[in-house]
Amino acid sequence: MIATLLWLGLVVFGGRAIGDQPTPLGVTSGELLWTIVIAANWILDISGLAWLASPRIPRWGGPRLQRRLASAIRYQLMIGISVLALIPIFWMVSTSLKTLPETYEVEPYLLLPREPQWGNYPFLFTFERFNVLQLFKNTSLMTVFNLVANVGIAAFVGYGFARLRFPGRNLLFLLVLSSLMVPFIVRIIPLFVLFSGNTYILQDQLGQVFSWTIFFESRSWAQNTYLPLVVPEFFGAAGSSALYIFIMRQYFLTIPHELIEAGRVDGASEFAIWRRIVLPQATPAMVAVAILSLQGSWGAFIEPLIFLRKVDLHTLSIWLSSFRSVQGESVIQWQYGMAGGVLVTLPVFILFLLFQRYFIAGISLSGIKG
Amino acid sequence: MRAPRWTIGRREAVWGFVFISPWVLGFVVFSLGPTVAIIAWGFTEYDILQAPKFAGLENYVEIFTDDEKFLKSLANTAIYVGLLVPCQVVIGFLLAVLVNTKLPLASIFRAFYFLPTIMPLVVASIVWAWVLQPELGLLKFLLEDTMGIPTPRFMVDEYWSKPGIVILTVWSSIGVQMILFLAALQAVPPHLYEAAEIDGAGPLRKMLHVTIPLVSPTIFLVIIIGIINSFQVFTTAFVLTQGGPLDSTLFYVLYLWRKAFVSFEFGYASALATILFFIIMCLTALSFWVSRRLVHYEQPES
Repeated sequence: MIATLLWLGLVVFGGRAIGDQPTPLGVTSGELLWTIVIAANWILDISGLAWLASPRIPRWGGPRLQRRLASAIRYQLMIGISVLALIPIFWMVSTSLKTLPETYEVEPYLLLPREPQWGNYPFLFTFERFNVLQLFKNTSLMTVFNLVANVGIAAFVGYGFARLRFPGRNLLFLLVLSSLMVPFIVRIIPLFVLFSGNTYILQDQLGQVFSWTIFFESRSWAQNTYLPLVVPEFFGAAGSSALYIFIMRQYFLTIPHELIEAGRVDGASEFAIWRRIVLPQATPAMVAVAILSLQGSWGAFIEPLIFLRKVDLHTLSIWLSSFRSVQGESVIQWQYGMAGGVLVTLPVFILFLLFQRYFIAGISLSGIKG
Repeated sequence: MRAPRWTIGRREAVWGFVFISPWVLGFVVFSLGPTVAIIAWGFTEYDILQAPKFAGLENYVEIFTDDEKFLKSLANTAIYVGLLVPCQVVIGFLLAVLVNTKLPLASIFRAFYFLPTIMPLVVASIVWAWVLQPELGLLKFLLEDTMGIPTPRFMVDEYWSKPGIVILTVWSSIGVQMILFLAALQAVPPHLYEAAEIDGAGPLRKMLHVTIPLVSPTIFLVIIIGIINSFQVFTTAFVLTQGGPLDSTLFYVLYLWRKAFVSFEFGYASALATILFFIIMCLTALSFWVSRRLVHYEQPES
């Protein structure tokens, strides 16, 4: 209802009528849009009215009609906003199946490709400058390492903060949270220096204390490796580690103290208590951390951009960002950029569909991302 | 075997330190150390190939007196944060109110609104670069070609580039704010609404006097996270506009990145980073100070 009225108003007062451009479905693009919008609204309105009129639905507290009208409006709004949320995703998929000339056609404007070009996807793997398979391997490896590191360290450290009493605990935990305020660039610049292979500078400054850095320098193996992307994670010192620790701590706080006491009475060491009693109970929180970590490293951009300066070490994000600029061609190949986007997004989408509950639990526990 | 003279409490404390020790090490090496290094390098001239040379306040003097781009990028970032954070709070809250219902299918809509958040930010940026493309983009087609609404040229117009990035960021982050507000809304005890109804409050009054005060800690959380994150905006601007048109999306971290990793002026970049750190700390402290007066924290029962 609302959407139809809105659309009608915009068309009537907006001047130019909806286009007469043909679409692959045989009708013009304007008609197609019209039909979709209006049909959706009709279906909704009719079902809404039917629902309003149906006698089987139990009475609620207040005036019945008003309530039902309210929920009809709510549905309308929810659908309208879903369209806004999903249109760019639709556009990505649609463009990824077009040919190059089709992406540049304005008259007629093609909402859908004339003939889906499934070949765009295999073509991605034949680029010369980027070995996309290698990029997938790089990104997956980094993601897996970071996942293991984040889950392990957050579960370990989080337990210390949640369930073991020691002097200065609250102060230290405050420090964990305050490290979220440190801008990532502040962490990255020294990390870059440390791993750049030019560590003799540090040596100059610190005398022979850090003579082990000669090893770094002589081999220069620290330059252009994944080390700066992975090592901090193993010490709970990466950008979002503090949040993972926070999530695990909050979860451990809900585990009854009696269980831990029982373990102690039985003479188990604290490590054994953690490993045998606490960890098996914390699976939901660990899954939440795992998924957030996975999503974070899969899409990480700035760290790979700074630390990985060789093409065959790049990650998928860097590869995708290069589509924005012209790749030695005269025009941007949007269809390949979008196909790459689909490929990179698909794994996380599937993961989301499988583990939606944990995703949302993790986010509402910590309020991260964004 | 542990020495028997250890009391239980002492033993627990030692284990506590054992458990947090990886973090302590990481904190010292990868957070505290870098912060100290950055502050120190801010007073030097440093091109990474040679050892840093002490330069006193030279970097800071140059930044504050002779660097137009510093002011420009700071102003850009401030405008961006000022546009984005209120949008995130208001839209996130309204969305949460909208989907906070037991109606059938509501959970599907929640998942829809959350999908853009799942998408890696680089992908979202590329997609929006295409949607907002001034001649061929979908937005121009939907607004201008079918309905005759003039569409701003988001990526090429100096005045519309920042709103363009704000739209993209709202689209790709709103799921998080929605979830946070939703959790807060569902935690509001129903008896408060019942009490308000008995007092004759309508929906608007219930919203103003019950919901918003009880949700205010979340509003505060969203604002703080929003400020800290959006002050460090990088990826979207890097992919979408690369700082362009006319430096209108040259955000602070983008400028800093160029100084550090394009022209390798590490001393100068460190000074810039110190200033950024200082700004973020001040803004966070300010938010906490303001929140003490405005945020309502529910007293825990019993």
